[in-house]
Amino acid sequence: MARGFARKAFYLALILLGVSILCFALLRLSGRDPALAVALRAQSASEENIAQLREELGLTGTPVQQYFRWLSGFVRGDFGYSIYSGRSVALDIAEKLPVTCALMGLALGWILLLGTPVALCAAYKPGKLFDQIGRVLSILAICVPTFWLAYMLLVIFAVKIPLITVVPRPGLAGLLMPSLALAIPSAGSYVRVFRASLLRQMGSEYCLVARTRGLNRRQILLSHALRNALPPAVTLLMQFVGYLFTGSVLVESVFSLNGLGSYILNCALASDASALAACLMLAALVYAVCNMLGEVINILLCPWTGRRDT
Amino acid sequence: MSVFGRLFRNPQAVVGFAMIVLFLLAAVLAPLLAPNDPYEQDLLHKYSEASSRYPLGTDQLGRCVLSRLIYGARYSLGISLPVVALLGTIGIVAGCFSACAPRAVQMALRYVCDVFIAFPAVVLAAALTGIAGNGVATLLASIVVSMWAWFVRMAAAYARVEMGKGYALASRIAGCGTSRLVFKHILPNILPQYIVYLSTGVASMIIMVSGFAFLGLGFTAGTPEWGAMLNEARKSLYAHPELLVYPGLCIAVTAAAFNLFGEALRDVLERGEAR
Repeated sequence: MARGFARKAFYLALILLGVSILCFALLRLSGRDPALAVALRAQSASEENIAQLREELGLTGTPVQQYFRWLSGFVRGDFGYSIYSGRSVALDIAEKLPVTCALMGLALGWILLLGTPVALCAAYKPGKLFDQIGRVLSILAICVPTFWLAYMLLVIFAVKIPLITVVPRPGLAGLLMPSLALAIPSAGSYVRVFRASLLRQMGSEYCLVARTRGLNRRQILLSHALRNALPPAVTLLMQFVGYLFTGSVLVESVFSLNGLGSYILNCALASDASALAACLMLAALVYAVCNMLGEVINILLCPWTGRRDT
Repeated sequence: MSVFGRLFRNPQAVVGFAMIVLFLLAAVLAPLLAPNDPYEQDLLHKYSEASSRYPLGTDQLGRCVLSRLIYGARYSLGISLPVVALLGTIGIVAGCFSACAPRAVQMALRYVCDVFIAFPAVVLAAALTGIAGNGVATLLASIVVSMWAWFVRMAAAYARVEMGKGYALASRIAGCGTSRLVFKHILPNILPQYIVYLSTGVASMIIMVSGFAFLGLGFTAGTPEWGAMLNEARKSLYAHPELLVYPGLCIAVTAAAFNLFGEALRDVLERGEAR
């Protein structure tokens, strides 16, 4: 088990390496010269100045040298210099990452809070009314675009019934509505996968044995099937982190939140390649870490899978 | 009964298919169906109510909302369908060949796919826009770059299952070459499941494209694309929220059509196999 875990971790590290190469390639493909941009901003665009800036920003040497210099700087926390904001990228990210993380975390919370009961009730009486309604609702949830849902929620809860303010309050309370908008499409997928997984467990042999021992459906569902059905759902949730990152760009745009998503967008429109490369690496890093986390959770939940003696 | 026969007895499939056809017709026949020119501004009649001339009223620049919605179908379907067709073709061919390839090649391809899948699509689109400039070409490039790996991975997974079955082994023993094995045996057998994936793929592509347009990536201002229309309608949140409702509804219903059809297709195929 530990060996498989280590192998997976090594594979994810390799993926991060591949991602870093791609990010660096994207960075160098950008036409703009960062040294020139910085010098122009500081209004000291003499030849020696630009050359010195090039030295400082690590733009000298062959591409391979530049790559390793960029990578070592990245690992140490030096993400380069942002053309868009005029500050170091690390500072920008440190400011905006908490907002986006809170948004994504709350969204995951919503998915679990809304999706788990629906999936459980649907699996409790499959084929009956609740299941049918749940199925329709989850398909609808998947089809709804996040940003439109965000606006609909704003219209209903901020304009028509003034329950919340259009510009969200600072702190976690203000993130409840945006994270709900972010969560619903993914919640639809989650319900479907979790329900299918639960039903698969309910149809397996050990649940049949539990039935012959006299347990009723609810007891089997909650005490036996639930735990075994969780791994596919957990894996899916961890994959959602990628979608949630994408979605947070949209939601932050709608609710005017000062998070990483809107930062990425602004840097994109300002052709700020170094900031974008750093954010891309960060996004991939988050993805890799969440995948690892999903693996760990699955092993903790169901330690018997993968063992050869079962 | 053939697949088509079973498919069109399934009510969900019929509904989904009918909706798809409806949107396709709207996209193709847009010049005939739209009551007005979607770009024409009538600044004297901004935000007007529904009338005989403007069946759904006008937007913030006096353009006919209904016409813009109908033309919007062109952008959504006109981008999603060809892109999914292209990626689907690349995916199924690459996936099938990779399933027949030696293990080292399979692992290498899997690694490359995983690297690309690690990038969230919007972030990649934003990055490419920052580098290559804003435009439809950049938008298409970023969609292709971020999504190709999903299709290849899916097809490879299905193809691997097929390769484990008896007939693949028997074909190999009989001397079947790789090309022939892929195109005559594996590919036709995974095509139905793969088409289900393509159908839901079109739905997510429609939502993705409109998401990009909403953020201002790829389309010029004033384009009657549903996501872009939502972007422009932001200012009307208080006064005219209905301008926010219509484009989003179109996106959702079009995506729902493809999802419903794909789901029904999957049900029909699964029930067929269980027999």
